[in-house]
Amino acid sequence: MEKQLYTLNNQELDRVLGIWNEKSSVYVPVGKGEDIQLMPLGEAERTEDYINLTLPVKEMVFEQKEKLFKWKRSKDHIEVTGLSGEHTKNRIFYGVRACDTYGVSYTDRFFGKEFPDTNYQSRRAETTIIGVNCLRAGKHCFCTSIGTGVFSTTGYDLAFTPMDSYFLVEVGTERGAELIDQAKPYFKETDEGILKEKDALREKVEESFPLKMDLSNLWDDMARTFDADFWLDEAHACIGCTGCTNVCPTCTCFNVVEENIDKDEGTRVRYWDSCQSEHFTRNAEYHNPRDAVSRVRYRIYDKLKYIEERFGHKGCSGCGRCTDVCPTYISIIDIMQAMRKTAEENPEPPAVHQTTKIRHIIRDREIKNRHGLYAPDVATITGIKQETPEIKRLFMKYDDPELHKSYEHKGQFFQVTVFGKGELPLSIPYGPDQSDELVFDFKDVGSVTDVLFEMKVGDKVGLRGPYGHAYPYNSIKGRNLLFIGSGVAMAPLRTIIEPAVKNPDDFNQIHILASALRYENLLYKEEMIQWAKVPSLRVQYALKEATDKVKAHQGHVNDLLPDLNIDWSNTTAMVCASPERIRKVSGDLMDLGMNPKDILVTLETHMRCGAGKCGHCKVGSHYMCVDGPVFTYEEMMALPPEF
Amino acid sequence: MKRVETTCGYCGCGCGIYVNVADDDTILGISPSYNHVVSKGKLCSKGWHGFAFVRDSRRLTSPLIRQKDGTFREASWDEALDKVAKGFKDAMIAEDNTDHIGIVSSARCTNEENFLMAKLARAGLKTSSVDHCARL
Amino acid sequence: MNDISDAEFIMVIGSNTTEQHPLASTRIFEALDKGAELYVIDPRKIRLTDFAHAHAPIEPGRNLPMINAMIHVIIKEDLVDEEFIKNRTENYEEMKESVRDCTPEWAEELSRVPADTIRQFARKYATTDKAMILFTMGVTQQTTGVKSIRALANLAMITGHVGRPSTGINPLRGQNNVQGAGDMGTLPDFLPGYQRPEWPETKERFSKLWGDFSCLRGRNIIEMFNLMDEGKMKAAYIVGENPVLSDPDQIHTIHCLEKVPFLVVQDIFLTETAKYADVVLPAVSFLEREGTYTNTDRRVQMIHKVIDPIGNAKPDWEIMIEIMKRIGMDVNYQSPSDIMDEINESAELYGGISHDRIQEVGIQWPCPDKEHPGTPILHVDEFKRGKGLFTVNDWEFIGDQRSEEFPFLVTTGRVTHQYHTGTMTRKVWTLALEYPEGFVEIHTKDAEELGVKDHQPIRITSARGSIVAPAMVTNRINEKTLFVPFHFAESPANRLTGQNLDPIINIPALKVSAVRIEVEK
Repeated sequence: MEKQLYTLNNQELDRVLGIWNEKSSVYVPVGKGEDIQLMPLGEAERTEDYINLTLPVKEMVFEQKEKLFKWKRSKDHIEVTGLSGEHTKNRIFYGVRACDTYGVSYTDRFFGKEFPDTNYQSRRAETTIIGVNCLRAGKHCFCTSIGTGVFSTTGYDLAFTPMDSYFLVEVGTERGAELIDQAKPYFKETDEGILKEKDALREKVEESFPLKMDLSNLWDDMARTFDADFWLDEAHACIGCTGCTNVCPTCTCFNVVEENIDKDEGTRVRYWDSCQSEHFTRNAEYHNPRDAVSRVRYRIYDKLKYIEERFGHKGCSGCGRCTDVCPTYISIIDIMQAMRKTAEENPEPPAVHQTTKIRHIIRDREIKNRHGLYAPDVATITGIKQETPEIKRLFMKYDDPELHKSYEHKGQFFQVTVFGKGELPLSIPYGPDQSDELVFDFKDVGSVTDVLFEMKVGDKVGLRGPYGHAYPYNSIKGRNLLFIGSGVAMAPLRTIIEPAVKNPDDFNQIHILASALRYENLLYKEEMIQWAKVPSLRVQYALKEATDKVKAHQGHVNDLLPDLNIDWSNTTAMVCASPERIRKVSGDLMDLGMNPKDILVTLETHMRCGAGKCGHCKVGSHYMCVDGPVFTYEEMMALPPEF
Repeated sequence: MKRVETTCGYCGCGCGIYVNVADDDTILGISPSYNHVVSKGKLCSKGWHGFAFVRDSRRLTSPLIRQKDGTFREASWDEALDKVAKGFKDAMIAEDNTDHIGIVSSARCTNEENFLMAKLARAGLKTSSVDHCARL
Repeated sequence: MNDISDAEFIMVIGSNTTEQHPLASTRIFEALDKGAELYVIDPRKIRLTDFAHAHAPIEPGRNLPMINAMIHVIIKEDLVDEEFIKNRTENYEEMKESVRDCTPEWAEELSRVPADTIRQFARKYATTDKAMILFTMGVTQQTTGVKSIRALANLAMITGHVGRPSTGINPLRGQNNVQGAGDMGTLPDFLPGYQRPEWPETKERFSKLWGDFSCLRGRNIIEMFNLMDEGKMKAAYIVGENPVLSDPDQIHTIHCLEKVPFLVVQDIFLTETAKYADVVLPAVSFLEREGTYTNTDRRVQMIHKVIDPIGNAKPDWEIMIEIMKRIGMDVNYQSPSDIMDEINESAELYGGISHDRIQEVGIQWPCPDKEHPGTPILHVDEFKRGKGLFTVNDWEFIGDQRSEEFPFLVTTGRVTHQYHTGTMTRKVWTLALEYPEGFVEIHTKDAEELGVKDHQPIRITSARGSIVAPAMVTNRINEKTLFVPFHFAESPANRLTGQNLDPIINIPALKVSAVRIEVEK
């Protein structure tokens, strides 16, 4: 778009805002001292004397709390209504600083692609952002060091620069141009000559910044200070208030919560969540891959590196709010300086996971949910089978049979909703063959599975999916396949075992190594006996306790590997277990001569939304749910050790 | 939307918060108050999140009266308050009821409410046995 | 609290400040940033110890010997502020005599804090100009709680650390308005504004305001429950409290609540206590009403109504007015502001504090009139009683001690993300997730000896009762010492605690109970 430039006399601003307010709701900065917030025009006096808004304008497009959908149970069905469109319409936010317009340009990218976030998009479509450039810096402002300020360059529809008696008005989007048209008499067209004055002003303001850091070496510094001592002090100080992430223009994590009216009616909402909470990555069995140090460090690495690595946008806008609100004075500025100093004086060898070039390709995906990305479609339980004492199999059908046809099977798991209780990811063990029925095997481990475990035929659940990437099929044709799984972890493997059993000629030898505490705990006991009838397929068991049911090795699955006698260079291994077990098994496989590229693992830790949005499963710059859960072992080793 | 400036209701620090409320009266969240003399824009996790119990479905929304079988039934304010007043009056025996009626007030209540409790106890129910949980 | 950030030396005793008063700890961090030194006395390696210059891992319940020994050292090494003692205090010689034998070695025996550490604490405290003491329930909830506070006062007075900015002994108040509740006279031995019932002017003042009223010393909460037990107390009205979880000796508490003939409970949830009520009245939270709270700094601040009351619930003040009317009182308040006007009349401390004046910034009492700006620091020129009185606080063994049957001491406390009995915070998803359940902190060495694994449920039993909670194995607590948070109804810490009261003001010794441990299968 051709650069459109206007001037607006200071005196006429209120008149213009008034005109805009006739067709839209204009929000302006109000407040005093340091408490400045966006409020509807006219509710309180507009102020121009402010450094920044208390909360970034993010709070208007990704609200602190948003409704996702509501559900209501009647006699024999559940009705789900998506609520992503329930919000205030047609709003104009005037007075947004460069750090926050920058933040919006990032959240537009973040929420807008891969699985587009329906809530965000609906709000964003009703939002116009008018930036007003800063003429002075706050105590912790460092946008000029990051490069996102001091004047807005992106994320605005209109940008105002206060000159002496007038504003320079730059048009950023069509929507901005429409606003100019609405109040055309007040805007005087001007030419690019004025930009020289603007540049001179910008340089003057930049010079006045108290803080200017040279961050050209930042990523190298980060690679050399990943395990530095200063992280421990930061970790000791953090009391998990979550203030830093709440006020961050680029923080996007959320958690979903069930708000029930009674047992037959409720709403699922999302609240801002924070990676600085201990519970953010803790699982049902107390296991937490991030300790206090990795928590505090993760936020800093995410802001300064992971976001940029993945999305090509700076993850930090330099607004300094996180430093302003920290009750224990943890400062991203101090940390950047500590990284610089430590890298200079006492560098570590660069951390491999910070310098690796192994990155997943980001693919655009869309799920054809009826009621928006986060609202499930209703399905009915049609059959139940007790697999082992703690594992059950549920058979489900969508209430709308069309849905079975509409999804292409390229995923690895579904998000299963127990209405009023919550949601959890379950893998689809039957893979592409399931055309009119979905089958899930799951273990009773938490509050949602507790309820799911007790459900009966005819009960209703909700389904979203499929998410994630399935095991590759075509690219491993002709090779030996080695499946290694224990207990319920056999379920994801089944997606590829089943087609392989049907088409054994596609492959060379097939080995299945199943492990468990005792035989009863094994999933697919009967199936495995059937599968073993395929001539090129061999099933072996590794059990801790002896059994008379099958011939089994008593001990670890690793013990069986050396005697497999296969051409390791032409083998693809698929390992499904806990990260620790994966490491042990993969280490042994590599000792036997396997390439880590040929070992496929699944990392399912902490997946919540399934769509790469809620942030819980992010490790380094990867989201386990959209990039995985299937990774090669090479990729897994390239991740920071925090899963 | 509105943003209501108030004082956090948890510990004795007394931090300043703004509560952000949507047009439909949903509480969206909290903004910190930089101007506030105590908190200066900083809050702990209770300050940031502690509002979310307000619309919990387990909130008491009606007076309850215990029935003969031990269970509660919902009652109107008039009925419940009359029963309370009668119960207290029945327990009053003489000019001083210090050993007969005990009043436990709360650090959760406002100054105004605690003052009323002290007055209700000493001037209304004629008991000096009024306390709160400072010791606990 | 702003005072804290200018201190040069901060001694924190019995306060897990970062967890209980996070924003007070902010001030400690500010002081540290400016070069202050931080000394911590606590049986646990609380978060502050990571930043402390010294930590005294004291035995629960043994603060008094350590404080007396510090006084002993300061006197012996002649580090006292003689000027201050001469001009501002009384009874010094008697106090001095009482600590003559309180050597650090004697205190080490009792408190397990090394004698040299005690000396270090004493010297540093005495020789720093702006030295400040912060404390909370870790000092008070012990059988020698009052003595310990008086001893702290002695300590502050012999060194002249009183009445100046960034000095003094500073209690941090646990609940949002525990200060205000006391100020308003919900106390058996005070009328509003700390006016003693036995003072003649009290009777005179309140007769004018209230007419006929009960002007005695009443029963405190512990005594009330005992009267219920004896069948003497016929009615009780409990507002916004959950004694079943918060009071000591839960089994006794429940028994009393069952016994009292007429019980009214007013709360926002059907709490563990409300379940025993004859009538339950639905009140509202701090987001649904107007009024004022007084913070730990004595600062009276506004709270504003954010949303309308949920359902048919009513603000407590409205309910109270209704009850007052129905028992025949002549009251006519239209709003909390009207009530504040009467408070102005009743208590000089609040004489000039009206809602209008504190809309933007709260005022610290004493504030006797409408022109008075409030009082940031108490005792600047003289103490309330004139001269500061030194007291004699001899150590004595009362309450729970370790024994063969009960070889551990358990102390109770809080975690940042939960509040009091969890009535509210456990219903906030993020706070509930952060600490979903209770736990028992136990030292690694003790855990090894007993064969206790991390997260394994263990049963702890005192002479009063027993609870089960998962173990949290850590080296951040003293050996033979346990810590249990009291927020959780499923593992109620106060089933363990007992009726060992401080003999002076009846604070129960919640911080010290002797227990044994059994591993749950």
